[in-house]
Amino acid sequence: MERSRDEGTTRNRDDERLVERIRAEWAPPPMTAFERTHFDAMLQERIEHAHRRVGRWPALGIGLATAAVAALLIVRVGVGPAPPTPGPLAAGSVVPAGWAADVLYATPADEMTLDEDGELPAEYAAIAGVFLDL
Amino acid sequence: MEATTNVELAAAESDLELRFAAFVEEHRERARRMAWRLVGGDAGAADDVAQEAFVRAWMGLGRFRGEASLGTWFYRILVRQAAHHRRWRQVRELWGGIGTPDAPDPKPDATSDPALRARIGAALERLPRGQREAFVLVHIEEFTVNESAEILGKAPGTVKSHLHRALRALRTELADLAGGAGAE
Repeated sequence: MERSRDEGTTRNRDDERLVERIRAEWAPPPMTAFERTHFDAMLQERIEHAHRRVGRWPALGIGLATAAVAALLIVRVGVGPAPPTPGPLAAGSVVPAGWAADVLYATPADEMTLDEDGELPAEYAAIAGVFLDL
Repeated sequence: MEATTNVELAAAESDLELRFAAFVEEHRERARRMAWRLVGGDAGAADDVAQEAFVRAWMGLGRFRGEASLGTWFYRILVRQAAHHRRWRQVRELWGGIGTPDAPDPKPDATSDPALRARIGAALERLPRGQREAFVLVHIEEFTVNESAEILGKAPGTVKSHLHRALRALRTELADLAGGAGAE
């Protein structure tokens, strides 16, 4: 390997001594055989852990994709939550009657029936006749 | 046909593992020593940084393009990992008050002077990151300027500038180590 001093980073004698001293003092003790074995065992464990961690991503991706497709199907098919039903009235409460009952307990089915079966008043029928060519 | 392919793949994988094991064997000591010097003399942190660098190298072998040597590529990962460790240590110290500062090396070399080691460590800590990394790589670990530039992702001229400034600062801080009388 080409040394640094060959590339224009020449040092004078004092600097050489300083660097040598730092290099000698600022170093960990060499690894013992036990430390090397321990290091390798830990490294092996970390590599296996990293493989497991990476392996989880495809599984998570498949799970998320499945969930997304299921959500899309539910939206497209129209399977949604059931319309709310009137809850049981609390005991002792006043039962609505008359127009209040019609408003409170009206259901879409009732409105549909009314629209289909009922006839338009004459003035509305005339207006509808102008626009809809009835 | 498929069985043959599977056997070939297994053999290739096994061969790769063997070559990586040989690479670890060859670079383990130096990687740990370099990490130790870059993180400020903490053996536990050095082990952690060196191991993480090996893990990242192993996991990223597929992305290794061969533009640099495998060693240069690996030491680039190691230097970044050491810088990452230092950043997180600073954050821990900043937010955790006293936090959990890295413990000093529990098993210093018996032949070295602990006070001197502490002085050298403190002087290197005071250097800006670029100067410290360049000094450790070129002057201490004896990489060439060009190799160091590649590892650090900097221009060789920048590395030389860092080296010049680092040496000037250390000459002032550790003057007694440079002089003939104080050195012995």
